[in-house]
Amino acid sequence: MIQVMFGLPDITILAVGGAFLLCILALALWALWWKEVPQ
Amino acid sequence: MIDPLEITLVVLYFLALIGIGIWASKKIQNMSDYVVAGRSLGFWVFTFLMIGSVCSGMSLLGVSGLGYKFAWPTIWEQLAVPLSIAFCIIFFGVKMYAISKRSGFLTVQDYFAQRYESQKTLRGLSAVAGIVVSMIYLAGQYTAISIVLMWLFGLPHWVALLVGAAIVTVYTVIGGLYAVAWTTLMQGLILLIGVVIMAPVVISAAGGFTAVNAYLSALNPASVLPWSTGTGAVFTPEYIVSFFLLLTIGLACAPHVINNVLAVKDANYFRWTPLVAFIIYGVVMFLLKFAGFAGIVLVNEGLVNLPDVKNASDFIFVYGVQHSFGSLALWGIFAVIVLAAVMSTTDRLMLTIGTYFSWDIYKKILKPDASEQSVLAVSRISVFAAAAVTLIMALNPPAMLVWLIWAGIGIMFATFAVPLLAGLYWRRATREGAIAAMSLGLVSSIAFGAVTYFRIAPLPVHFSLFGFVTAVIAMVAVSLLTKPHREEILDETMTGWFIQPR
Repeated sequence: MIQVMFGLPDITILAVGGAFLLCILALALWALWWKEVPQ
Repeated sequence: MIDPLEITLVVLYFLALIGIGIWASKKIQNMSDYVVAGRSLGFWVFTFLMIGSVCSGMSLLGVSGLGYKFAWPTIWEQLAVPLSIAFCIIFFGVKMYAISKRSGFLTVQDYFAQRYESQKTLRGLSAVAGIVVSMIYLAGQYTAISIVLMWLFGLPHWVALLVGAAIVTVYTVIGGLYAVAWTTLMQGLILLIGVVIMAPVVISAAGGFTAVNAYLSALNPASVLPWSTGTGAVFTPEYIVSFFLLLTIGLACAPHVINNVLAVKDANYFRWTPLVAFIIYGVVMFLLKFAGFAGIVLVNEGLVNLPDVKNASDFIFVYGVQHSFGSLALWGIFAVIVLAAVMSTTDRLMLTIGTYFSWDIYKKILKPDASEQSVLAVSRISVFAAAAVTLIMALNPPAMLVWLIWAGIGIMFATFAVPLLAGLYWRRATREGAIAAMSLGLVSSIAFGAVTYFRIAPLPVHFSLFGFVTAVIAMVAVSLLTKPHREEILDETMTGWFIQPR
């Protein structure tokens, strides 16, 4: 197993970091997709 | 020996909460003011109310405790819980708010009653289920308050419970959602600043993030993997999937979380709150988990000794901070931070129980001609009653706080997710289907929870998933066998495969 960063195996970095970035991307896309609601 | 500065800080914090409660009480004229703050919450108050509602005793004590006990395989909790806010807003909130503005809804039960044309049965069942699951969850929150007060002042468990409950009850009873929302803004800011300052110091005291991971890896290489495998492993990939669903969807449809979406001033807050709340709360959650990992080093190296109690792992962050900060004043600040996190959920849960009883059961079922003032009075009395009953439940907490809190979320997940999702998105969903899904989801999740709790048989996934699947089957089968609702009702309640009405 390769220790890539922070004393962690690569699979941990990829799985956790990847999921975190995916969440950010999905929520940013939601904000861009939003259509303003008139008040 | 109790330090006077510690007491002063905690007392000042309690006085600030009561002060906000008194200020808020002047704004309460009717049930709409009490329950949804007159639909007046601004962007940041709403965002922090959502964070504060999902950020519970689990967040500061349970999250670190779980990290200390099982290390990296528990990391998914750090994504799932912040994501629950986004799930709630996107999949439930956008539509429910639009319908509530049009129909004047105050609670989720109002939505159920209209969408499923069931003014009494489904409303009553949903309100009772909401009260039951909120009380289970609330018992976990009181246990967390007690842990902090026991540690700080050396109070006996029951005295600590009583003090914590008394403060929250006072400001919730007098100020309703105005008080809950504004105290949560204060509590959320305290929590954010506090964790961002304190968690890195605890991690640093254990040698820093990289050194902690290297230590864990040397101790047990499996502890730095993102899931566990093999005989006796708890956080297996299949368990993590059920755990993710439980936390993301379960918290999103929890009564004390979903009702917040009805209180915003402007629907356009739903655009950025999901991302902003995810980032703020994600940072807090990751830091807390890493502090729990650091606790493994501190305990193994003999730098920290946990107390000899059955829920010892829940004390890891508290003792980690105590070790890392020499100043008593900082401990007092820390106590305020933990109390802020716990109280921000506790008050919302109590208000939810009071509202469900007074509005959905008393006003809408038992006494429809009751005046606004009498409903308000019943709501306040219900909050007191909820506090009293939950205190008794919290007197004998389970070994790990987090398990009690997860049990509460799990039952919410199995009970409410299916009737809500089907009601909002599936036009064929019927009243009978919703009643079957809600009642079978509640009963089966409690039954499977008992199987886990009493170790009758090992389950490969979290027990709530069995309840959720039972609810899905019940909803689909019973709905297809019964008469669909009228098209006008489905149009009025915006039912269909879309999120934002265009």
